[in-house]
Amino acid sequence: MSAVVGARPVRRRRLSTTAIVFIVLAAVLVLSAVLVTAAGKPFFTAGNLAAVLTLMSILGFVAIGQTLVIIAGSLDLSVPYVVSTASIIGAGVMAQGPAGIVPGVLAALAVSAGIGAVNGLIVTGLRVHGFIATLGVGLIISGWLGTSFQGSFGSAPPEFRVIGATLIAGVPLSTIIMLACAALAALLLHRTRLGHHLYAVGGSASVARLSGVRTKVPVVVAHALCSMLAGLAGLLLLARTSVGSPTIGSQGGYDLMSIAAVVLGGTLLAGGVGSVLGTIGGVAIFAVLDNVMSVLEVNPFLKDFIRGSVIVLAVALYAWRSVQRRPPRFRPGKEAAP
Amino acid sequence: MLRETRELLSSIGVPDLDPALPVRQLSVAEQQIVEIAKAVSLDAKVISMDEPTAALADHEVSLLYRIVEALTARGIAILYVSHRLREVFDLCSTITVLKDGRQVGTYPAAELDERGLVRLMVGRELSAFFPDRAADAAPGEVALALEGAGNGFVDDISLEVRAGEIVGLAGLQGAGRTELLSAIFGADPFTRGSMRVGGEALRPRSPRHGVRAGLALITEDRKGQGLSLSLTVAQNALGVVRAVFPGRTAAARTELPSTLEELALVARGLDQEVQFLSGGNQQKVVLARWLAVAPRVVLMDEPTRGIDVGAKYGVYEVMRRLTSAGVAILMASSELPEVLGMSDRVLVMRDGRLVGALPPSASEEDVLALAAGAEGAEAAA
Repeated sequence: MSAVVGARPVRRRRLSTTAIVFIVLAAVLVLSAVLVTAAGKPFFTAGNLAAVLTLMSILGFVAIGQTLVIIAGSLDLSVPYVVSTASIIGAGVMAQGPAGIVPGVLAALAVSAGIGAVNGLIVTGLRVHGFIATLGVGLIISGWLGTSFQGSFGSAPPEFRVIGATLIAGVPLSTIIMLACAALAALLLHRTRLGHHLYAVGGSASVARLSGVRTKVPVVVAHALCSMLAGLAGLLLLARTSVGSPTIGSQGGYDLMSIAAVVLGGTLLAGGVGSVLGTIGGVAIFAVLDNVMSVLEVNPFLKDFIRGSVIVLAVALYAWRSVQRRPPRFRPGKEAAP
Repeated sequence: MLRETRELLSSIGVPDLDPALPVRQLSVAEQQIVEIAKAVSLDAKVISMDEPTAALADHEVSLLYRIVEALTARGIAILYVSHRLREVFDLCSTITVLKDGRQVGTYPAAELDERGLVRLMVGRELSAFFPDRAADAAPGEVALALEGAGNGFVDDISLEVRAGEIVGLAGLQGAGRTELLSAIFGADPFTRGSMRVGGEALRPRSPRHGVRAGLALITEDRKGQGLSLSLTVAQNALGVVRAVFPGRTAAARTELPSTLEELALVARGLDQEVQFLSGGNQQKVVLARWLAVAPRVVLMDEPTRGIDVGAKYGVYEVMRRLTSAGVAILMASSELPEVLGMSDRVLVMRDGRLVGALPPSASEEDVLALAAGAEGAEAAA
C-alpha cells in the first residue's frame, strides 16, 4: 500500500488508440499496394500518391474541426453547407479578378466562423444538443443556397487556382495546409488552457463547471473553429473547381464522413477523449480505401459496404478495448499490483 | 398489480408505500426499498446489498434494519457490503474481510470487535477513528459568514465559520445540507441575504466566482461532479488551478508529486485515468485538486462517503492539517460519529433551515432529535 504516484517506473504500456489507427493505416497501405499491383496497375507512383493526398486534404480540414467539436461534447452536421457557402462567397468576391482573392478568402472565413459561432451559441445558450442545433442551422443554410443559387456561381482567378494545382516535393499544397492546421489544432488541444478545457467540458460539463471552468467558452470556440476549417475546405475546393457551387459540400457528404473519420481515429463520440493525430489517421485510411477502390474500379455498392464495415469494426474494437482497459490486479503467478 | 405490490411491500414491513407513485418521486431510501422488493418478488434466495445505507439518513437506516430482519426471518440469505462497522455488527452473523482484492478472513461476528475488524481491514492498528485536535487550536478571524441567506432550496441561513475551525452540518437526507453548500459555493447562488468571505461582502454568482474568492467544494457525488473520470490523475489534480488561476498552474504542477505523496495516493502514475482508482484514492485526487488552489474556506459534502476506514482517517488528517494552517471547514455529513468526532461545533438543518447548534460533546441522540424535529428538542438546544 505504500506505492505512491511517481515512485514507480512507468510500466510497459498498452498500445494507444492512435498507434492502432496508424498500424491499421499501414496494413491498409500494404494490402492496397498488393491488390493494386496484382491487378497490374501501379500504386506507389507520384501521381497516385498525390491523388490520395488530395483526397485526404478536403475531408481532413472538416474532420479536424469535427474533432474539436466532438471532444467538446458537441457535434456539427452543418459542415457540408458551410463548405458550399464558403465556395460561393469566395467565388463571388473573387469574380472581380486577382484583387478579390484576399477579400474573398477573408469574407468566406469570416462568414464561416460566424455560422460556427451561431452554432456554438445555440448549443450553449439555448442548451440545444449540437446534433439538433447544427442540423437546424444546416437546413437553414441549405435552403438559402438552394433558392439563391442555381448551378455554379462566380469564379476564381488563375492566381487562386494555382493553390489547387501546386505540388511541393510531390505533396499537394492543400494537403500541406491541412497538415499545418492539424498541427495547430493538436497544439491547441495539448498545450493550451482552452485545449484542456475542451477535454474537461466534453468529459463532464458539471465537473468542469464546479471546477470553475467557464463551460460555454470552449464549446463556442470549438464550433467557430470547426466551421472556419470547413470554410477553408470550401475555399480549397473552389481553387480546384474554379467556380463556386451551392452543392459541392453536400455532394461530398462531409458531415457523416467527417464524423466517421473522427470516430475511426479513436475520438469518443460522447466527448472528452480523442486526438487530432488519430483523426488524420482515420482520414488517411478512408482516402487510401477510396483511392484503391476507384483504381480497381470496384462497384459502388461494394465500396460503401467496405467503408461501412471499417467504421463498425473499428468502433467495436475500441469498445472492446475500453472494457479491457482496466488493468488487472492479479495475474497468475505474480505478486499483486496496487 | 397494485394490490400485489401492496402485499409484497407489507410482507417486507413497509405497508404504507404507495405502489402507484413513480419511482422518481420517492426518497433514496424508498427507492432502495423498491429495489429490495423487486428482489423479493423474484423469489431470490440470496440478496446482495452493496452499501445500502450510503445515501440514507440514520432513521431510514433503522427501517432498512427491520427489512433485513424480516428477510432473514423468511430464510433469505443476505450478503451485506458496508463501510459502516456498526451496521455490520448490528446485522451480520458472519463477517468476511477483503483487502486489496484478497480475502483476509471470515469470522463469526461474535468473535470480532470493532477494533479487531479495523485491524483486519487496514492491516495495522488504528489508534483512534479521529485524529486529535491540535492542542493550541484557537479559532481565528471569521472566514465565512452568512446573514439571512437563502435561495429556492434553503432559507434564512445565518452562520459563521472561523479560520482554523471545523463546523459540522448535520441533518436528515433532504434537509438541505448539499443545497446550502452549493449555494455558498455559487453553484446555485443565494438570491437573498448577505455573505462575507474573509470579511469582504461577496455572494458568488458561479462556482468560478466562488473559487476566485477562496472557496472550495468537495462534492458528495465524486464520480458525477467531482472528477473527470476519463482524464488522468494530473489533469484532474490541476483542473481547478488551471481553470481559475492559470498563472499558478506551473507552480502547482511542480508541487503535485509531493502533495500526492503526502496524501499517500496509490496509483500507477500521474497519467493513470482516475476511473481506475479506488474510491479512497479518487477522493485523494479530489483533495489534491483543491489543495492546489490554497482555499481559505473548504466546503465538504460527505467527504468520506464510500471510502474505506484507512482512507477515511487520511481525509480526517488532511482536515486537521488544513485547519491548523488557518483554513475554515464547513462539513456536511450523514455520519453522526464523524460530525461529532471532527467538528468544533455542529449545526443542524431541517427542511432547508438551520434549526440549532450543538457542541461536539452532544450525543448522537441530541443531534437526531433536533434534525428530526422531535418535540422539545429545539427548546433544549
